[in-house]
Amino acid sequence: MYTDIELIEGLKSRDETIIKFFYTNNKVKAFSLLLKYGVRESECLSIYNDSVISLIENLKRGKFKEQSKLSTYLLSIAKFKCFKEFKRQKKTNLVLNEEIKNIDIQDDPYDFEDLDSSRIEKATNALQKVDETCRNILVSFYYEGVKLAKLAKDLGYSQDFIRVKKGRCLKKLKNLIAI
Amino acid sequence: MESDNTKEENLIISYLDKTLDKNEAAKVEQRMLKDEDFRNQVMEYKHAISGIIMHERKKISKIIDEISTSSSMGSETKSQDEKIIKLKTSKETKMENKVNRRSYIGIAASMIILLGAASLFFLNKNSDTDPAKLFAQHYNKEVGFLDKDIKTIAAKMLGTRGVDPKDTSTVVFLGERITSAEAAEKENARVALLTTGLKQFKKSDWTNSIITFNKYIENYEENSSDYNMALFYSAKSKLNDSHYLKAINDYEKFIRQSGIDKEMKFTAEWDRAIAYLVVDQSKVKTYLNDIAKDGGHKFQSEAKGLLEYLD
Repeated sequence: MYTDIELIEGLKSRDETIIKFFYTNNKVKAFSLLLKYGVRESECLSIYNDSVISLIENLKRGKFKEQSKLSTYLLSIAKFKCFKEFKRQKKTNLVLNEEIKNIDIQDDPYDFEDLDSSRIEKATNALQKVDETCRNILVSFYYEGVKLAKLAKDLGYSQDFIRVKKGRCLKKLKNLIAI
Repeated sequence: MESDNTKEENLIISYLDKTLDKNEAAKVEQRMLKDEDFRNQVMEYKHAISGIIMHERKKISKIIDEISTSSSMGSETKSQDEKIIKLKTSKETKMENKVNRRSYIGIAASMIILLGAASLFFLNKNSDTDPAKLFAQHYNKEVGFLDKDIKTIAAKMLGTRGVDPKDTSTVVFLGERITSAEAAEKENARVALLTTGLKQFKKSDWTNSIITFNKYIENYEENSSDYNMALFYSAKSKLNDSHYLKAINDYEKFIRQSGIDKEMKFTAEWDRAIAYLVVDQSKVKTYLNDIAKDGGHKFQSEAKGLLEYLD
């Protein structure tokens, strides 16, 4: 048994025991909810897995404001994903209530829908080829949503220096994809 | 001095970082519509950013996939391990019986108890004292009478067939007066729900069996033999899926029901006692003592053995 604080810390640091505990303890509730909304049984697992991933990412990005229990937040994300999927399939029988609309469950900070998956894969592999400092700056800024000011403070540089450095690192990565 | 190229790239990065004001962002978007090279440059940067995100996301996905796979396959693997333990136990029991047959009947009875307790004692002494592991060593995910229960329920389904849909006579079903045909239909739906749950249980599909049995418990009346069966299998499914507290709650409710099946009652009492190993050890001994004192209890020797170990 863990408190929400322990769970948040464990999920943020990708502690596998905590992830497993959280994943298994909320699975039945989430599946019940999804089935209630009319999600096909075969689709429940992928929506649930995506929801857990989004929750971990949102915790990392500081999107969870602790206005609700962590398990409630997960169910909100699952409902949001379900809503998105229905919208994509042009089914409109699910309405998001105000409570969920107000929770910050932003799915992806960037819109990737118009992108080419093979080029994304290439970029994923190319990230391994940039130096560690660059990789850390890029991951902190683009994935974890760390602000430039904080990054500068943590690394002991000026904000301008970090902004230029981040720009150069991203260019380096972009050039590696082009090769 | 920044070159034009660098300026343009910085503009793209600022646009993607959402640090441009509305007007500047709109200008970038307009240019993307008109200038293909510029649009391609933006796309290159978008791919680079998405690569960073996917690179990290893959790490979490890998963990989730492993958990997801192990939670659906785990039941099979674990039950295989349990089968091995069970085989060992039955082998030991057979040896004990051989020894006992040579002795007098009176001594034989006490020998079974002693050997059972002793074998559990030594088995446990050599094992880990982690409560969860101790629980796993003593817990059996399978239900020996499951097939019998499925057959009993299936027979009820056949029994409700053959009602004339034109029959206008009425009956009271779940407190509601309805026609016999409607009652037969509802009865079939009820039986089908319970059968589904039992079949999901048989397939070790704990997530869905929990959902199905919960649905049954919510919708049908207490104190019927089928309700009790749903409650029992609901608890067992939850325990098999490591929801200890929820399983205990179901078992508590099951044990309080009237006219419950003896075999199910023994299993429920044993499972409840050992589930407390994981959630609240102060209660384990109380429940084990109750079982150990009950001469006719199926798990009496196991309870005595575990009590000795815990002391």
